[in-house]
Amino acid sequence: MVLAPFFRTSAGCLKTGPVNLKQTSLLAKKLPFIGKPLIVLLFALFLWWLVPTVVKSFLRISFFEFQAPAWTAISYLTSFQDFWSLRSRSKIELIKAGQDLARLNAAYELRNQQYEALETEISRLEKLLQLPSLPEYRFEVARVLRRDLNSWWQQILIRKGKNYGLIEGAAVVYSGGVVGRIKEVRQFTSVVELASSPTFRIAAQFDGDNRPVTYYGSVNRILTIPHGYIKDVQPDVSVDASIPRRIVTTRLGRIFPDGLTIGHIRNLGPSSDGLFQVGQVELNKELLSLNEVTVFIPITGEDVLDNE
Amino acid sequence: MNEKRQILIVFFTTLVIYIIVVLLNNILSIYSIHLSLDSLYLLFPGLYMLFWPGYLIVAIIALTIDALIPLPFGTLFIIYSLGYFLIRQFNTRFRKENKSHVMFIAFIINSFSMLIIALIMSRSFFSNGNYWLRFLTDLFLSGLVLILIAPLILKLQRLFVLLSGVKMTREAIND
Repeated sequence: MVLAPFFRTSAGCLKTGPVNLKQTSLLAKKLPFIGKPLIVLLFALFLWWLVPTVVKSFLRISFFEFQAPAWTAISYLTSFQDFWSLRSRSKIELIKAGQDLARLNAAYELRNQQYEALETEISRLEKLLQLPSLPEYRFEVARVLRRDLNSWWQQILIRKGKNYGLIEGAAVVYSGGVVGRIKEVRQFTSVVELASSPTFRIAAQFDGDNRPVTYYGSVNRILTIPHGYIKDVQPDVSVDASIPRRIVTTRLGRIFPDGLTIGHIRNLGPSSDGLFQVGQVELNKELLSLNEVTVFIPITGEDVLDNE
Repeated sequence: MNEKRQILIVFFTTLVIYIIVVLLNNILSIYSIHLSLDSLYLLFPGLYMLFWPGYLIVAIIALTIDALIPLPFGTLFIIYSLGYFLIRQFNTRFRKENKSHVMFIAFIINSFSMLIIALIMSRSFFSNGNYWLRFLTDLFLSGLVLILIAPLILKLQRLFVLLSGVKMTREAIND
C-alpha cells in the first residue's frame, strides 16, 4: 500500500512535463529509501530470506515451466530449418544415403538376431542357475533443446519429461556411449547432467576387467576434448599409452547397464595414498555437440504386468 | 500506459537477448567455450529506467535464468539485485551516452557476477588450478565480447523503446 503511490508517481515522470520538486521532496520524506539503493537492496534480500522454501520451490518450478515452451518452440524451429536444408539436397545424394542406410540396416538385422539368441541363452542360464534376472529397460529418444556447458556445471535440456515417463536418475546415452543421467524431470522437459560435469560420479570398470573403479567428471578446459577421471584402480592394472583402454559402465551402480563406453584411458598414476591408481579419461568429443540422446528407463514389475 | 509499454518492451527485448546468448552458447559449446553475459540484462533497466520498473524486469529475468541452473534458487536474483543496485548507486557518475563508460560498467558488473558464482561453485575446486584457469579464460572471453557488444545492444534496446513511442527524456529522473 505504501509503495503504490510511489509506483504511480515515479512511473508518471516519464510522461509528465517538468519535475514537481515539491512533490518529489514530499515523497522523499514519506519514503526515506528513495535514492538509497543499498538500503532497498538489503530490504529486498531480507524479504527473499523470509520467503519459505515451499514458495521458492513453487516459484522455481513455475519459472521453469513458463519458459519450457519457448525452448521447445526454438527446437522445433531448428528441426524445421534442418528439414528444409535437407530438402535442398539432390536426389542422387539421397539415393546414396538410402543405400548406406540399407547396408547399415542389414548389418543391424544380423546383430539383432545374434542379440536375440544371446538373450535366450542368458534367460536359460538364469533359470538353470536360479539367478535374479538382469534389469530391463525401455528406450526413449529425445532431442536436445539447449546445452549449458561451463566450468561450473555441464548439463543439457531435453524435449521429454514426465509426459514420456522419464524418471530422475535414469541413464542417458548416445551412439558414442554414456551422456550422463537425468537430474531433474519436469512436465515436458528434463535436465541431464553430463558425464563431464564436475559433480557427476558413477561406478565403472575397464573393458574386460570386472573389478569396479570410480569415474567422476572434472573441470574441462576450453578448446579441448572433455575429460573425467577414474580412481580406486587396482595396482596391477596397466595401460599402454599407444593402445588406450576403454572404460565402460557397470550395473553395480544400478543406473547404467553393463558395457556402455564412458571414455578411453591412456595412462595411470599412483593415487595420493599410494594404495590405488588414478587416471584421466578422455571422453568423446561429440558429447559437446549432442542433438539427440536416448534415455534408459528401467522396466519395473508393474510395467511388465501393464504390458501383459 | 506509456510506462507499461516501456516495461513490456524492455522486458521482451531483454528476454530476446537472453535467448540469443543461450543459442550462442549452444554453438560455442562445441569448442568448450561458454560466455556469461549477465550484465547485458541489467544495463538498460539500470541506466535508462526508473528504479522500480527496472528492478521488476531485472528480478523476473534473474528468476527465469535461476530456474534452469543448478544453483540454489534465488542466487542469481541476489547477484543481479546487487549488480542493479551498484549501477543505480553510481548512476550519476556514469554517462550513458559514453561508450567507454557503458563498456566499463558492463565489464565490472559481469566480472563481479561471475566471480561470485565461481566462489559459490568452488567448494571442492578451490585449490584446483584448472578450475581457476577455466574461470579466467571464460571471464576474459566474456568480458571481451561484452565490451564489443554492450554499447550496441544498449543502443538497440533504446531504439526499440523509442520506436514504440515512449519518451526517453526523463528516464530515471527520480533516482
